[in-house]
Amino acid sequence: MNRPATVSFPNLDGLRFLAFLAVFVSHSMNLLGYASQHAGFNFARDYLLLNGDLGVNFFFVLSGFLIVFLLIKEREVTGGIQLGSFFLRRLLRIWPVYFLVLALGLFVFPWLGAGLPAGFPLGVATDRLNPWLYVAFAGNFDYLVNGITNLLIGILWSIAVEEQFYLFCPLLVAVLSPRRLLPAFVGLVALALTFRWLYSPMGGMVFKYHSVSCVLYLATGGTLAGLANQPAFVAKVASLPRMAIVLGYLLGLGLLPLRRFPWTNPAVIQLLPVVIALFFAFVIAEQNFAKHSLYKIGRIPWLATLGRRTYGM
Amino acid sequence: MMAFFVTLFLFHKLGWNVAKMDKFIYLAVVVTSLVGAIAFAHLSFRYFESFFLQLKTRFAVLPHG
Repeated sequence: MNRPATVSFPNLDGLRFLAFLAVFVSHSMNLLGYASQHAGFNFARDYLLLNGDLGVNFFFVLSGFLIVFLLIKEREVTGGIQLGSFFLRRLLRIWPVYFLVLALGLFVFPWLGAGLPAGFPLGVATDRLNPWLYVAFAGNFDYLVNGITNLLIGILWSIAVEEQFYLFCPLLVAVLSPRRLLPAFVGLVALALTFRWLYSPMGGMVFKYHSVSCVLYLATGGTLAGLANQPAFVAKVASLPRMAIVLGYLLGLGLLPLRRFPWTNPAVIQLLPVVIALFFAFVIAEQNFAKHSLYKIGRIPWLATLGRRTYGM
Repeated sequence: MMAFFVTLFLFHKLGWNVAKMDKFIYLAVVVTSLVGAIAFAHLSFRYFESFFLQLKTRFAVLPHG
């Protein structure tokens, strides 16, 4: 059997930490209840910093890319997918921290928060959520059924979405021929867009938290992984001129303030996430394969270390 | 999120008004929570997750880093 060299993307760990930091800042702005009188601060918060929630969407694209890329490589090298090993690896990576957080959220924090005053910024009561949905990795549906009632446990919704994707993603790679894999992931993107258009044309909870809706980002990562296994695509990204890369970043980052406008046109509401998903795919492709990048994030070793350490966050 | 809660809880116990915080308390909460979250992540990685990650490596079909 032809064993490949280690599959490694050193720049992605640093990006992972930046995405964590973006989510952290966004949560601090959104949930701590701090109200500033300073117009400049409020503008930066509303149009820039609150976009940090997109870090979760970046994680989705990144997970889709990494999982599908490794599965395709596995099939190339071994001739198949060892589904048992795949699920066991996912279990060992995610379940320990997931259930630790769930246990703390269900048993320890409600006990700690029992005597807190009414105005305390974060609620820890568990009486309005369905814990079994979290145990079954379906916490995003708790949001849809019961609303956002406990953020300490509620943050697990994104892990639930990823776990649901991991259930069928390896089956797809195992069953479909390499030629059909790329159209299949593009089809998943189309499915997510159709679902969003039909069930949440104006955005909202279903748009943000439903598994089928979130497949938009995971399948965009999967599509990128399919493309990244084609030498012609990799060569094209590798030869991207620096000017084109800078332009890509300016366009992508320029979108952020636009996203926070109170849009009333459903076409704009539906289109913005597509462009954002493509921008995240562009960042991952550029960081991994471009030869003329403005800056490779992997050059900052402590950022990569923090990215690996905060994986479970 | 848990780091925020622990920080707010401790500051509340110290007598700080976290229900209606000024910018200094807000900054202190954010910085303490960030340091706490990274410290917790580091300790969790080193003393809890590493055991499971070693097991995970045993089931790796391809070597990856």
